[in-house]
Amino acid sequence: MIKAIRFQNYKVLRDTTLPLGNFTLLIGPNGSGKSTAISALQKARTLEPRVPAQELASAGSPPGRDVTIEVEWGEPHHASLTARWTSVGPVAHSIAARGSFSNELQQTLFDELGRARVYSLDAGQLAQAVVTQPSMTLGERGEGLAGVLDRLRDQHPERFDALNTELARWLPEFDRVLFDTVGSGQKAIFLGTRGRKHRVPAWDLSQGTLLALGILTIAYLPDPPPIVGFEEPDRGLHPRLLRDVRDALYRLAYPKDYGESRPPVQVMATTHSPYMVDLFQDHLQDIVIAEKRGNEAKFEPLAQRRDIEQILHDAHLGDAWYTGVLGGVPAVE
Amino acid sequence: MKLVLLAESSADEAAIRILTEAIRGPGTVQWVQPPTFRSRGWPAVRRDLPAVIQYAHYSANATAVIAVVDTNDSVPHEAAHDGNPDPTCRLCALRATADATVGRLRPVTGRATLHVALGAATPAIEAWYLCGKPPYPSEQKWVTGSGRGYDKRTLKRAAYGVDHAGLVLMTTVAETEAKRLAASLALLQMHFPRGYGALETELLAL
Repeated sequence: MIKAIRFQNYKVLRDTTLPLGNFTLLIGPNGSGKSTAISALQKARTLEPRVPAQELASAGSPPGRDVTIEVEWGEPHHASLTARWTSVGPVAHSIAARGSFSNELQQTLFDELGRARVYSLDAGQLAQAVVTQPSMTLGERGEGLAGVLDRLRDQHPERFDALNTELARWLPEFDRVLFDTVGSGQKAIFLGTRGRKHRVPAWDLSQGTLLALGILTIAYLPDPPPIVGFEEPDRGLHPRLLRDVRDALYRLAYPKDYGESRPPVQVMATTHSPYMVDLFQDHLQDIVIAEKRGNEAKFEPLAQRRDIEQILHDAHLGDAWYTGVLGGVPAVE
Repeated sequence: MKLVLLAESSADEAAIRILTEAIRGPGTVQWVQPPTFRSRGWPAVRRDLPAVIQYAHYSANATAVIAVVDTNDSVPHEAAHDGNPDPTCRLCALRATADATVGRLRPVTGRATLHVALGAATPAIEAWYLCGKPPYPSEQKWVTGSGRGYDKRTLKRAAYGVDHAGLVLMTTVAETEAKRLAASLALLQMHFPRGYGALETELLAL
């Protein structure tokens, strides 16, 4: 599992470390580096964009200063991988390991980062009909959903049934994902209304319904990516549904607690919703606050605040965050 | 009788419904729904209760509103608070809010005075679920402090068996344990005489 990502001179993340657990919820104002941080894992792997450091550097950074993203693993690898951009562009990764370093370890780290996905689901993409392929995976904006669900139904019917049961709990007007071939051999999703009296094509479903279906699908994949980021998974959903969304993300991160036998997925998510934040009142260790001061942002794990118990003694977490007493709110001129 | 229930989650709601029906007897309770009423925990319950009371009186023609809160680390309700309310006690604070709201309701022809039945689980509703089971939680044990051998987190783990329980599991446990306790309400009275006892007394008085 990745323990932390350290940033030096990288955009708004001038000098800060993002600690990571099985599940990490990042809260903070716009432009505080939340999305920058969760997309950094892929950038650390690919060294993209292939530009000189000055194009990625923090505002006001001295010329010639490198940009680095260092990813640190705990169990079982105990290693770190550093991506570096110099004044002439990215240079080869450097890898350090507590034990013996091997090409096999390097490959493992690269593979893990290479399989990381940051989902920013888009209703339009989720609704698209697709030409199915045998090994279809879900795109980061939800591309290929129909193919992924079709594969789930055929190859893992028990998971597909469980997903349908959960769908009916989230959105009681529906009880089944259905498929049909449309146009030139493309597979499209329909949602069957309760009692199977009617079916609604994906392109006629509400944005929230499609986003919920996308999140549910990721949660019920038999082989989800080992590291997953979610950009505002609460977006477009009714506040009361957020408890179910949190459970879906926890299903990925804590599979045993949900009766799953697959390995845990390391999950990162961002939110601006106090209602979503509320759901972590009993899991403060899962929250990291992104605090922005001028052109610089820093990460602070909420559970490490000495005053947190006193602040939350008689207050709700989301309300406390909104007031600003926990930080992570927009600055005022 | 028509009852309105304000709960923090569908899991809590499931348990409180079963306990209420056990207290009042089978076939005596009609639940006003939809919608289901939710609050985002303390202090939102205190903030939201007046709106729910007004809905229950003016729109739902209900007999009573029920609300149950977790005490967490606040002062648990005590017998000494009766007639001398402690503002730091959640049950007392909620009672004051309820009484003030009911006192402001305009009479509606043909409708009796609305009642409000309140309960407080110490420190959380999972303590009720574990009544009579390890770690044998009780109000008396809770006020002894660190020697009690459990806190809110360990109670939740004991109740659900996991650290990150989902709503489906929580609802299953809530229903299972509430059904168990419905058959022996005396157990809840014995171990939670203040927080559960207040709810039971008010429900029986309806």
